[in-house]
Amino acid sequence: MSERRGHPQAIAEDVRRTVRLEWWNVGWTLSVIIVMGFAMGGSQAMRTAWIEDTLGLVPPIAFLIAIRFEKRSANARFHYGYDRANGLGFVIAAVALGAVGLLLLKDAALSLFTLEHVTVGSIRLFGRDIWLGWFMLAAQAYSIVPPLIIGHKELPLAKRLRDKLIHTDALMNKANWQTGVAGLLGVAGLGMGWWWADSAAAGVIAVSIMSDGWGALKVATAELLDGIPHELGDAKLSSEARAIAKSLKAQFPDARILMRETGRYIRAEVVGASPPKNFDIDSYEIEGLTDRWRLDSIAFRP
Amino acid sequence: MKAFLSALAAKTGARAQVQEGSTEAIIAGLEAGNFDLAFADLADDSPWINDVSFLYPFERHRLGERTLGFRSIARNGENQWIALLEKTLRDQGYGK
Repeated sequence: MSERRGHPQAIAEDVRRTVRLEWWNVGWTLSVIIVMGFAMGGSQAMRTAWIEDTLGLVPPIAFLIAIRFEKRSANARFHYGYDRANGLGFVIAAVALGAVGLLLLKDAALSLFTLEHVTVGSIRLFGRDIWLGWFMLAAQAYSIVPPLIIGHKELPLAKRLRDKLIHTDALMNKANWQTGVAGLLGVAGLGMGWWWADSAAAGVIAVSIMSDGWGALKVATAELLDGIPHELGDAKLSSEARAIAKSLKAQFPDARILMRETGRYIRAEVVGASPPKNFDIDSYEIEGLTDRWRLDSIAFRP
Repeated sequence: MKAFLSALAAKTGARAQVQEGSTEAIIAGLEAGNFDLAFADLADDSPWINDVSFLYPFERHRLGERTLGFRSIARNGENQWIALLEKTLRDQGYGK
């Protein structure tokens, strides 16, 4: 049972850093949404990219809300604390990522099947006629930079914090910059008369995004259903959980070892054994588990 | 409209061949690539607005609740051609 208040000391600094990064993420994403909103004109690809950028706000906002709940201690209404707030945010982020992929695929397929020829006009500015596609290209180029940098910074933090929500946000940022590249190619293709280039590029990227979203959704659902602790970005049993199971099995050979993951923490249960006298989880050594904070509790069911 | 066509002919080196017909036939012909350019009196909120590209009108007038414009129409996605049409129209004082 999580009765602590705040995050374990070992990850407190990384949590603070991640919160700061996610605020930056929200700010930059808003700036991209505004720039893209002004430049999108009649282009379907730009509109899709804009919707996708808007959905990109979901994971960082879910994280910022979840992290506030997570540090609260257990209370009369929530006896096990709020560790699972992160898991709930993870589900929301995974659904958003999957939705982005689905939306992109639908639009790309529709444009290809209906042979949609997008018109991008021009404007006269300071006496010069400028093709509006140049503004779209500039906006698309701008929309690539923030997610590329932020996503890159998120990955090591997600790894250290075992934060699947941040990992999914990094995937969302990857989806955003890849869609930006597809949009760039698409608008450039429109200028060259290749009406299909945009949709074809978007379709290929949509499949990759959907695959990431599906993978994240599987792990997020498994966590909600008390599945085994997973490796970050993978459905395999985590190496830390394996180390915990091995250590407990060695000490209680006749017992069954059950494990589940609540947010970033692992909880183990020893079935068919009683705790040794003076058993203290904090001083209990587990070989191969370097980040000790990962193991939140060991329960015994004789 | 004549001055516009002359300017366009001078820029492209093309000779205009004019054909008349109903709006429905003109739009279908444009979509099929039979014409490069058409002129018609169409409302700003015409249902054809998504099927073809409306350019700046030469003149506007009210008809009941709606505003119509006698304008050039081009095939969707012909971006270089549309940019040239827009530039020529602007040079003659239409559009912005």
